[in-house]
Amino acid sequence: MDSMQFPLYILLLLVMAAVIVPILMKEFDRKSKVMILGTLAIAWGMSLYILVGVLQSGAYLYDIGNWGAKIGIQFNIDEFSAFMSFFIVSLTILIVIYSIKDIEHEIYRKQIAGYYSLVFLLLMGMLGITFTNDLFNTYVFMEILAITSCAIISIKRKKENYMAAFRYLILNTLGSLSFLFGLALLYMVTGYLNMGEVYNTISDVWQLYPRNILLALGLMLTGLGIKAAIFPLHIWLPDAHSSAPTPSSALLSSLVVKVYIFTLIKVLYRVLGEEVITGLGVSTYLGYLAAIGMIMGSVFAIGQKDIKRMLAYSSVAQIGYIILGVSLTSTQGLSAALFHVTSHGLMKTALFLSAGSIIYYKGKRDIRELNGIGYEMPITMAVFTIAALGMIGIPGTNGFMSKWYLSFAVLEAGQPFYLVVILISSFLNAMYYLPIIINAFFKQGIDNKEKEVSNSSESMFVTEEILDNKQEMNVEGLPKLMLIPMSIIASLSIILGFFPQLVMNIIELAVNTFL
Amino acid sequence: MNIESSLLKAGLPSIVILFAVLEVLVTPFTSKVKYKNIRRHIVMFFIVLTTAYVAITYGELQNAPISYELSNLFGVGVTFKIDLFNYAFILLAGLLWLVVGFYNFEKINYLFYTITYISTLGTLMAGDLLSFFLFFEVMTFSSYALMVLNRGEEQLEAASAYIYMGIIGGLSILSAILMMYVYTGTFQWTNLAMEFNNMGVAKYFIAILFIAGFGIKSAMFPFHFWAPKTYEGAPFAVNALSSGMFMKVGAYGMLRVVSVLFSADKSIASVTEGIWRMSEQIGFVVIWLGILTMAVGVFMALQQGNMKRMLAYHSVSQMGYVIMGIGVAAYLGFQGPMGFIGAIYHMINHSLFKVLLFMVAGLVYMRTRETDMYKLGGLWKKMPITAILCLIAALGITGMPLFNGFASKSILHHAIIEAYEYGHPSFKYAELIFKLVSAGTVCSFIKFFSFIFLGEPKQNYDHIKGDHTRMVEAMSILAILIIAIGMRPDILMDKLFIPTALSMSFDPAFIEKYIVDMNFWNSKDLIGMVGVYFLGFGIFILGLKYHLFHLHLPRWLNAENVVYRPVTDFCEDFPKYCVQRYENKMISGDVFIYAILLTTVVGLLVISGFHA
Repeated sequence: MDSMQFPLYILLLLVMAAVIVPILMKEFDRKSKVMILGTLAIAWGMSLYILVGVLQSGAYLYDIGNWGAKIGIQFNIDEFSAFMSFFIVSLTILIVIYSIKDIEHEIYRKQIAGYYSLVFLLLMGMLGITFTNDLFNTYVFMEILAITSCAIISIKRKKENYMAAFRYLILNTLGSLSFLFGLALLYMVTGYLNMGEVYNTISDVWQLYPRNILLALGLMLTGLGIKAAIFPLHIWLPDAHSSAPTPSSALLSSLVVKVYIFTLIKVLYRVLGEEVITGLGVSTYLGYLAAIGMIMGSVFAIGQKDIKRMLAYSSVAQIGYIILGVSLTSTQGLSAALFHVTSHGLMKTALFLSAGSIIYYKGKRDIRELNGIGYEMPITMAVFTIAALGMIGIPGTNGFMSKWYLSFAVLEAGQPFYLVVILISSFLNAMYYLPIIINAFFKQGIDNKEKEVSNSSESMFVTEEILDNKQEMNVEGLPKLMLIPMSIIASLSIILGFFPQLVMNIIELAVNTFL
Repeated sequence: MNIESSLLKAGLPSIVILFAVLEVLVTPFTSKVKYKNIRRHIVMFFIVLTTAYVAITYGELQNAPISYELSNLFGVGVTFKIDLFNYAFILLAGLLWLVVGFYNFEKINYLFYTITYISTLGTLMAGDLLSFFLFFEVMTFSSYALMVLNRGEEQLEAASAYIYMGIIGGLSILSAILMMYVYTGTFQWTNLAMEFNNMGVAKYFIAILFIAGFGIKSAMFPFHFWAPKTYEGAPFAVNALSSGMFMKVGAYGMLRVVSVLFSADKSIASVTEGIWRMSEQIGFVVIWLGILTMAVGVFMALQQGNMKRMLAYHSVSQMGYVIMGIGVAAYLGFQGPMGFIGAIYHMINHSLFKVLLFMVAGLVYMRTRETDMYKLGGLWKKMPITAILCLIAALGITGMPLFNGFASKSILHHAIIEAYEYGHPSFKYAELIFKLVSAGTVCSFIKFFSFIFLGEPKQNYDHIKGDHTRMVEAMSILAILIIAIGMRPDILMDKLFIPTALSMSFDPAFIEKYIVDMNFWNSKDLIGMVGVYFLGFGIFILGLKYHLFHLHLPRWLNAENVVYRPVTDFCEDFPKYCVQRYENKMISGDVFIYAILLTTVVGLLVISGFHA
């Protein structure tokens, strides 16, 4: 099959683009924009082709350079990694389209070329980590990801960005090192780095070397836990995600963190196997951490004043949902987790992009200053509302479906306690998302106050001024390039809310390969 | 299926699609004020069309419910159904939205007005619990928008009780649905008593969550406090819709749950031992909740001076009657059709007279700009027709024979007596409270009518205008219905309620014996009503003499302070505390936390490894 080589081609294309784009790009003009988007479009086409190929003719393993699985690097192109890569590329394209207008506003002009180079590398790292079936290769891509994401945070050149990026760097290095130690210990026991091979041998040896495997697992979990921001290890996330430029926040929060969670799932189920992790009781502790994260992430989010910081804390809570699904070690739990990976990706991107638009257009970050913004930026706030309602779990949005699947999985696993946690967490979500929506649409901002009219007259049907304003202000000062990606993401959320099986069918195919 | 019925079946979806297309085509052109009316007329036309369509399906419904299936939605598929049960409510919703739209004098947003209508229909027609929940949530949010839009910051503050309680209610219904789905494998409206019987404690959680969830929406004690709070600032038209329909949808859901989910299949209903036990236990609680709701509602209503607040508390109290009826239906199980029919009948009657009362209050407010009824007086000279309409509605709500309230109240009275005769002796007191509450209602509406319309005309209202033709026309439609139902209470019974009850799992012999051809005008009920009126009048005189209407309850008795405030306060203060105290520490102590966590993770794993 000729699409076999495509995963590698995408990575090569992105590396090449990362080098060539800054060289060719003298100025941030039409030509370079077309170049950037063109590269991404080719990558998107290829990932679509991979996905279609996998769905038609099944999953396959791909050895790079035909070196064989034991010494060479292997890619595992199964249903979910193909879907995940397609999802990553699609969302990245939308975010990059958005960023073309927004980024000029946020960083120095001469750094724009460098920024896109970093985005290409970041994308390459994410795709690589999704495809790879080799533990050491995972580590390599992890480092690439850590460094590039650190760079796209600090590119803004402000004091808080440097602080956040430094913290991010230190903690992520700790995480990577933990992961490296862990995989070294695993290598010591099994003698393989290939995930499939490790899995085959580990079921024989884990009784012999329980301490080694425990330590390895502990180290790897902690390392990935830092990177995936599982609750008590999330401390780098709020600073990093809130101070970064908006497109970076969206990329980091909706994709990079998810990729690490996907790696975590791979390590748990593809490397160690269900038998080992249930035998060691890891899943129970993961469940507790997830439950604490779901509550405390929201609690911290309620106390925030800065809108992007609030969104960052909300990510911590949402990651708790995903980890909870993972920790159930059941088919339903894992499919709920994977579904939430995609649906949270969509929702969080929409939220960050719309928050970024508010910052771009009004220069306001404080939640309390957003009164009446719904009439000035109706489309942006509509996008925000859809995504926020999804976070609360209102039916008709993808957030409801992931909550539905997750609660269902929790009850099937016989742990109704977690249902209570999910409900409390949903209510807490409502506590911080609803006031923003309410203030944006139902409170009148300071500028609008004088338009207030007395609330009665006696005409046959009373007209409502504000709906008029809304329709006349449809133009919304925001550039179209920023509005279109947001609207696409919001409509995708709604489509997935009504037809979750579009994604769920693919996930169900993939889940069987994990368990 | 013959052509006629398939045509009927295709009707509703095509109306909805037609409307959506029209909206999309028309909305862009109606941003100018002069085209505004076109859109209004389209909305009204749509409501008329849907209502008319549902009305003509009556013949078809006699044979079988009309159902629509959307098999791909939500991955599991949802259904919508028109059956005899929701037929009356769908018609009622259409009527209310038309009348209120025709009447309305305040600014309300027509977009949300339509959405609330569609979502109410969706909730009523839902053939399974998932689609029910979907539209229920949409209804909560869109009705919230109606209540607060353009009403200022105070109303936002007040209505937050509504929206947050609504979300809590939604979440508890959702979790009940989920638990039901997991433990019984279905979320259809089917009889599940058998499955519940074989279940452990989980069934009580399911029941509690359902009843709390629907109770919040139907303003059941102790969740009733949102109603007076929110109604005070909301437009009159929205209050009318809220107490006429949104509360009813909550009660409708509760009735569906107890009479369908918790009841047994017809074939095993009378033969299997102990099949009704759960329903009985739930019913016992629900009856007392209903009694408490009606007592608290009427007691609070007596102390109010504000018309909106008073009517809101009366809505609470009347919903108490309905909930009590639902409770009786559940408590008596197979023998419970009296409670069932009483609950449905009272929901419909209450919609009619409470909407009319809100309309009267609205018209009075529009002319006088005053909501405090102690400051009004003598308005009957200025607005005589309004006074007559108010009198009709008041006679309806107090249960005067020949007005609609009498029929449903006497059925509910029969129901509670049956609960006492067939069941627990404590319902004797429930019956007493029932009478007392009815007397309180009489007193309250004597007060309402006399303070507003009777007495000496006040100086400052000398120059106000009188009745408003369009609004009075809208109100008269309801008044005529109130009298019509009052004159012939048996028509609705024979055509709708008895067939509905027969299609549920109730004892057909019981219905045949006690309900078919029921004599509404028997001397016992009439004499009872006279007693209630005398008692109400007595309370009114006493209240006036000793200024009892100005009493205020101690603050700690207020349900809001006990139920809602602590939760919201905690939810606001705890995050602030956490953020102030721990956020910076956590962020600056990053490496430290990492070290501790690594140690604990490894330690835990090692410990668990030793056990394994």
